[in-house]
Amino acid sequence: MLKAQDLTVLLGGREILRGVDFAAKPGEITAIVGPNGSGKTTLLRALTGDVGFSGDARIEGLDVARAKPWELAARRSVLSQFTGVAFPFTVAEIVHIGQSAGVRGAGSELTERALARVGLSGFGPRPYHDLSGGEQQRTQLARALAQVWDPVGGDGPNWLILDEPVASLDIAHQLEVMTLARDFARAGGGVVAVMHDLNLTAMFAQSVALLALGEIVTQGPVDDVFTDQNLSRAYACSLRVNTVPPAATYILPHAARA
Amino acid sequence: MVALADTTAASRAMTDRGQLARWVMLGLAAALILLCGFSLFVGATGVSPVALMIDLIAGRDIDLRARVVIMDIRLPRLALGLLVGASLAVSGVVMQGLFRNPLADPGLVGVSAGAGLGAILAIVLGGLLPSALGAAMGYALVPIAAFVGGWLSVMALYTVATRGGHTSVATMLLAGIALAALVGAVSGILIYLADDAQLRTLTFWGLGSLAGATWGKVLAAAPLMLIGIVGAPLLARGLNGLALGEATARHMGLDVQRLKRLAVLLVAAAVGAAVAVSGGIGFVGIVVPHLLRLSTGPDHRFLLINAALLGAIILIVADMIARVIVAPAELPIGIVMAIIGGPFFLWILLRRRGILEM
Amino acid sequence: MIRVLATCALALAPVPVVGERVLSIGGSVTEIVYELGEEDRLVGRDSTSTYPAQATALPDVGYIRQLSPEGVLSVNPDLVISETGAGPVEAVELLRAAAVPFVEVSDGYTEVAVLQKIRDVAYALSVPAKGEALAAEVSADLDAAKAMATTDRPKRVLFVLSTAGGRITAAGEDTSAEAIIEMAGGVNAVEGVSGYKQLSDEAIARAAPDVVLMMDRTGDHAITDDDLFAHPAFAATEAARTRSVVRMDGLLLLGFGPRVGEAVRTLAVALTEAGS
Repeated sequence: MLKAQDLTVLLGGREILRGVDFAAKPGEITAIVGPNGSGKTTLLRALTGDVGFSGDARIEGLDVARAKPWELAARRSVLSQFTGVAFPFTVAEIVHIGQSAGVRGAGSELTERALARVGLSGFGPRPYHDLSGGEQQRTQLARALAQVWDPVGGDGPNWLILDEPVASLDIAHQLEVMTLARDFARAGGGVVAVMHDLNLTAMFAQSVALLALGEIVTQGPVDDVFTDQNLSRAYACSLRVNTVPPAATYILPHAARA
Repeated sequence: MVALADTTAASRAMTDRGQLARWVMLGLAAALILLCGFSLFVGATGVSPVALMIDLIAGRDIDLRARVVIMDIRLPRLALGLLVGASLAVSGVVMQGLFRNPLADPGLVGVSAGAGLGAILAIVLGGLLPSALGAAMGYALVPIAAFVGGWLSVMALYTVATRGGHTSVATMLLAGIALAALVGAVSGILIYLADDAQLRTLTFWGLGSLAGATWGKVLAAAPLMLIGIVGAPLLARGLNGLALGEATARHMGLDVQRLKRLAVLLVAAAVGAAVAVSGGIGFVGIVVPHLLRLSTGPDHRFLLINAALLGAIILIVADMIARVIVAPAELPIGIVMAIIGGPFFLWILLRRRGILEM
Repeated sequence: MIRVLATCALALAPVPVVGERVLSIGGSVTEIVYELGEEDRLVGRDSTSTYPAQATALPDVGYIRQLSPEGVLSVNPDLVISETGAGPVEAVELLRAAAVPFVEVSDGYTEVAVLQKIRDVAYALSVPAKGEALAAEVSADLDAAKAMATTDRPKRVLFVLSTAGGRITAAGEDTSAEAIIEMAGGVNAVEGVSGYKQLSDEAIARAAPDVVLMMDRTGDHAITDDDLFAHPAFAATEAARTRSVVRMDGLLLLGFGPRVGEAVRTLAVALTEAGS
């Protein structure tokens, strides 16, 4: 269980998040969506302990504000939007650093499996700096995956916390990465992802938290949250949710339908 | 099947670079041992350590001059070269890892500048000390003051750049620039106050030299330098993690604040002590890490150890050149390093610019 | 006034046989050794020992303040005679460790000091009588030179050590340059500053030199008269108006060795001729 209560984040004297309650269950992908500046990434950074906050946030009972970095790292790994690497490491080396920097993980065969899992088989010896943006992002995802390889560890579920994991990927790799996240969740792990693409969210997430202006508009199962009214209010534009039986949902701007 | 073959290629490539780094480590260690032996034979006098050993073993009377040359000149100088070279190179790697910038150097964060101010203070104002104290400290005064200066500047840097237990690298770099300017100004005032003889001492100290090596200096500075050289490899995993960014390093389980604190202290110890005993020897901290990253990759688990070895080798070779090229006089080793290192540094800059333009 | 740093070694040896292989450190010491006619005993010199010309054929063990310990030992000296200020301390201490007697002669920019330096060197070389003779000779020569240089209208002389970077480093009070200027009948134009210091343009204008004195050397000292007087600091000075520059060999001018009389005479003549 990942649970946050009454989270308030002040940055530069401004309230970026105001009294946010948020919860995510293992076995599901929980998406955080909302317009630009709504506080999605700030909420994620509070959950990963990157910004100070008042309130309470716990991952599987670990207090995010007080737990040691290595205790948290054993429970969850993080893919941030920042993918810069300082020195000319290879792809395989970066994944291996993810396995070994703070939490001692398995050997190099795990590196290969993690790379294969994100569709980067054979990329191991390549210099990270020579890759495209999408390939770098997938390398970072493999790195994060290698850190908490087993969706369920000896003492409970592990968590992947992803900040816009498909932001710079083509559609095939978007599906590949979201499938990876779904598989991780289906195997008992927890996934929290900040998403921009509402259609991908509708397709893969089970639970959604919709943010606007630093507050939760609503949170719950995707079908309950994704209504014309909720989305239009949060994004301050007219949006329509279309459902195609049996199970596909897509969201379109209202104007486009006209 | 294809995927399987590819993945083994990945693992092989990774271990290849690790293997290469291990071989390089062995090679450097062997070269260093050979060079250490060789350097005992090189000098302005024709004294040979072998003859001295034979005399010692045979129990014959030992030529006093030969003993002084080998035991009190070449050996302490060799030891100092080893320690200073390794310290400067390792400090370079650690600083570059800490600042995530391959051009970062201990000089950047004001450690060298602070140490230099300490030395200048000691040289110019040392005569004002109560004579008993001055006599007790003897010629150790300058090295001690240089170390204290380096250490104080790091502490000042921390006070300025650290807030609520968090250090911003950008603030720290800017504070380092400010500190260097301040140190430069104070040094300027002191240089104005200095008399003729003190000015000359300052000039030669600034150029950097191992010529003043004595066992006293070696023993005084060695513990601090060894803390840096031996302690740094313990930070290897942390520095690897830091290369992926501060936040990512923390996400991977590293205590980033503690890592940064340790890194700065190690550098202050190693650089402060090295600057104190050898003056300003530049470029070792830039050239050595760069060469090694080019050949065996940036993995700090190998880089830190290899840098210590290669740094020692380069300084010992530079010192041999310094002491034979104008024998019986000698060049300050700082000049030799600047002649080698200056163009090399420019080459790095040109190369990096090329990459950026592509 | 001899300070023998290796007193123990000397005291313990029953008959100290030293001084057959002499290393001379400092330009004036080397000159004295040659004037004493003892140059055959020299085996090495430092880089400031450039006079007489034969001296430059000797092995050079480096700059007086930055001696290389092994370099010093490599010429295998059994006696080192040095001006004050040889260093670094470590190098001097290693000489003591190797039981090489190290004699530091007295220093100073007065007639008494020069004569004492000559006696010190002669004593160290075990030729005190020659030393007395040379001291008397130098004393007479210097007295004659000073007498000749006496004038009731002393010129204000600015000694410029360096013009590097367009900034003037000049001699203040208590310097060797001031001492030789005064012996030659001039006065040091710079007052209230001690040692060799970088001076502001205004300070130089206030010093109001009649003559600029420089060392006749290459490098940044090789500034031309035009460049020198184009410097704004000199624009309003008498020296610039009359274009009075005196250039002299640095070792002759500031060495305070046996040629001190010649230095005074040369400078005095140059000062008289300058601007006239």
